[in-house]
Amino acid sequence: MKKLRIGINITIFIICAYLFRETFQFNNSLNQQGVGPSFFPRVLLAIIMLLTFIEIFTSLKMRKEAIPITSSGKRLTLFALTFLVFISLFNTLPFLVISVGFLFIMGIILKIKLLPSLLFSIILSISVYYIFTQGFNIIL
Amino acid sequence: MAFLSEIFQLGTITFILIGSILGLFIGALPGLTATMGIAILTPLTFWLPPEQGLAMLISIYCTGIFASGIPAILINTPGTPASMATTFDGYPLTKQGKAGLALGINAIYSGLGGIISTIFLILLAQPISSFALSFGAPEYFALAIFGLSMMIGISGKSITKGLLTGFIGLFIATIGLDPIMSTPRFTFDQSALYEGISFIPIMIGLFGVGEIFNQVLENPQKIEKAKQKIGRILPSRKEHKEMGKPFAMSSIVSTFIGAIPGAGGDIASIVTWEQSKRFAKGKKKEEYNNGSLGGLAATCTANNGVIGGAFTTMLTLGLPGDAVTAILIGSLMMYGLQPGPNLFMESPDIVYTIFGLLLISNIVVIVVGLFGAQLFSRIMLLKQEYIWISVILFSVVGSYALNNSVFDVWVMFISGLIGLLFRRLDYPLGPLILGLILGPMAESNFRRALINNHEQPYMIFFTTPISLILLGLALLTLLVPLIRKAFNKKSEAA
Repeated sequence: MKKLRIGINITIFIICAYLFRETFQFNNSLNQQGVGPSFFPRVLLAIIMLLTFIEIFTSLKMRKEAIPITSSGKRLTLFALTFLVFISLFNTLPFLVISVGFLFIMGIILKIKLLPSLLFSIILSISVYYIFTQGFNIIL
Repeated sequence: MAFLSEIFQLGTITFILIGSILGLFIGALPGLTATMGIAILTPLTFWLPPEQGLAMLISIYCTGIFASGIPAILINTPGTPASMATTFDGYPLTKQGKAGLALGINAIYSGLGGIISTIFLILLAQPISSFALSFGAPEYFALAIFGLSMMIGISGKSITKGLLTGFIGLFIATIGLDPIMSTPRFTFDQSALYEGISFIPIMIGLFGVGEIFNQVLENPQKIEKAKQKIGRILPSRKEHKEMGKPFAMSSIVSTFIGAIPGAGGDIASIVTWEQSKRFAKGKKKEEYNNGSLGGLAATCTANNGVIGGAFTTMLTLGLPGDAVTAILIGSLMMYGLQPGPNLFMESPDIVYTIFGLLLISNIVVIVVGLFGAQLFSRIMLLKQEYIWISVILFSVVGSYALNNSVFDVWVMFISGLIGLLFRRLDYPLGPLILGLILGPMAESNFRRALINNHEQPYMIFFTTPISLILLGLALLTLLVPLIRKAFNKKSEAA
């Protein structure tokens, strides 16, 4: 946990430093009272960097805690990856096809039996499709 | 008294019920907001007489806002931004096996909040609206700063962590075209980023998907056992007494916030939750964020409490108090009515009809909420895995439905991963959403105030009384916890 916390804060710090540099590219020619488009982002990024610094030092004082790799960790990785592929294919294939397919796969990953998982993914996908397309005029 | 006979006609009552059912669906589905629902359904009311059309739209509004608390309580996913603060205490109560009680409180106090704010509307429409109209750029900036000072209160154990997530939220709000000069900021030539990052997919991701990821990671059987208990729905007399003060404070504060154009239920619920926590004492204070009944009552009251305020500005000044009333102004104009001071003189009957419809719709909220609580809470009896899959699908479709954009779905997914990470590392999510909501208000009004006051630009924030009071309150909100902490340390050492 300690390493993860430090790692996250260092990552946030680096991203903020890069974005801070980016603020000098903004068009500040028409700034008012010294407060142009870059003023707020710069102040906020500086404060975030300061807070990550404090967090890193606080984390250094913490005791080491190992993160156990469990079967649910692997299950979450598979679940999230399936979700990722689902979104990647969203809008490229017909909604009902990808929805039924991916919900079924997610069900299997979550250890739901084959038939209930298939039935549930079909019923849920069709219901959602009709609620949104017919009820709210949203094209899926 | 002709308006009474119009309200109690079978047709009007039928449309109130239809509106309530539609509002229930719209509010409970993450991603669908009351604004969206009313915008879509307004054309359907064109062919109805004004009292029936308004009956349907007003009941969608009242029920939609109340219903957004249902998924916030049961699955930690707010249906609309107004229920974000309902997750703070509603979901912990569900985890404790008190889902029924949380749903009961949501129904009763949402309805009562709406009724009290409507009574305020009837009695104090004129003074409230002139107070709201006196808000200029410095006052809006001060209001945003006051709202942002709540970050400390909703930070949980670590103030630094709360501030960090809050400032990240504020920063995310700066992405897109800047509010004064329309200069692109952090857009990297991506057209999807020009309009900024919408906070609804972020909210769905952080609270909904992040929670599902977290539950998949934890041992599901442990969670299931606690959640299967629904418990009683009606609060006891003692519990009502506990919620009395937060309710009274919240109904007044939220009515005033609702009357300020642009400030809605999202801001009101966070502000009232924080204030309610501040006034709580001893053990009750520690319960906040862990299933406090007072905290839940304050946020539920605030959700519907802003409605009366928003209607005050709409009816008396013709200005929209929030996005929904902006659409409702259009509906009134469609019926040949012009909201504003003249409406009270020219069409008093329609004004009284609106008052009556607001009262009845909020009573319907209580009835539907209490009778439906058993049914809603049945969701928790479903196998956990089915709920997870359903939330995932609704999160995807709900995020997409906002702008018909896959970009929003990606924002939701990434926010889900960040939500998981922040949960595991104990970083509070509330301040991030608070920053996202109030960031644009703070920046645009700060800069606008400076542009409008060339001579002594920065003094403008300290010379107008409302701004000065709000900034003073913000300073107090920031300093009091720190002073208290230091005082406690001293007394412990002694």
